[in-house]
Amino acid sequence: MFINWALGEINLKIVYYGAALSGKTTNLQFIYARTPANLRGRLISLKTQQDRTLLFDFLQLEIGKVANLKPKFKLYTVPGQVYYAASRRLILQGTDGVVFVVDSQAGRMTENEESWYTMEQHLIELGHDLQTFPIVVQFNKRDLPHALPVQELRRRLPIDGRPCFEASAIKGHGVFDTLKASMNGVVAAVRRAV
Amino acid sequence: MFLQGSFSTISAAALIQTLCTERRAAQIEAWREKATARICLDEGMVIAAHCEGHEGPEAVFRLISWPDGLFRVVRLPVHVEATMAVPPEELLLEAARRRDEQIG
Repeated sequence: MFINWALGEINLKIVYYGAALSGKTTNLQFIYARTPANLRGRLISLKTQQDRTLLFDFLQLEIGKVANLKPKFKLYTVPGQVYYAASRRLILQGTDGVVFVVDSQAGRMTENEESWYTMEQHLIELGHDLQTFPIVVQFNKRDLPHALPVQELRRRLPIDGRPCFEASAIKGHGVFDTLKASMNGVVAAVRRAV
Repeated sequence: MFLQGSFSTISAAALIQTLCTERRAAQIEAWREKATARICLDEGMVIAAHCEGHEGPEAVFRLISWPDGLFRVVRLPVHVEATMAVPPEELLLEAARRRDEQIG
């Protein structure tokens, strides 16, 4: 959270976290394409091995003011490959919420589990309480033929009571449901804190 | 001069981000041993950078790798010519990516 008094804005950061090629970038590209141009900032794209790191910000007017400030959300993806640990940690610094994107394909569970573990480690190192920190889970690639049943994904990952959404980011299904849940969770946490 | 300090108190990366988030028109002047740096910011962007003989993004990468050093922030001089217009996040993420790929 960063309060910009000069502009009357509260900047809130949401990071899309997950294994390489799980669909984080596809989520952000879909959101960016459907956000009115006058409300969004520039899309920044950095090429990394296998995938890209994306970020952009946008003013969210529907959600109402937070502590009398206009909420501006910054959305980031992290590079998913194992060796980009410092980049992921840097991106998670100052984050207000995380969307964990799960690749539903049967052969990707080890990567999902490793990614979840590193997310938890980073958040703990950054001083967050995992019990209260807003994490939303997206089961992506539900349209693919080898997608595991949701019950199996829930069993393999320590999701607990966190909000979960099924999605096919490439088709746009579930993308905004996930984002809205994350924004609401972040705003609720900020309202509790101020 | 309106702000000065040490990079042991606030990192160059955090200083640049904070000034950019507040959309300050400012110039960061920094020095460490015999090295000097000058980073110009306006409208939330890095618009010019010089460090250890480098210019542009490479100069920013140099500065944020300094382990220590001193800085002062002054009003952006009127004669400064913008040679780039890059959001600070883009520069910092690129620096992190390079570091990870060197290690990896």
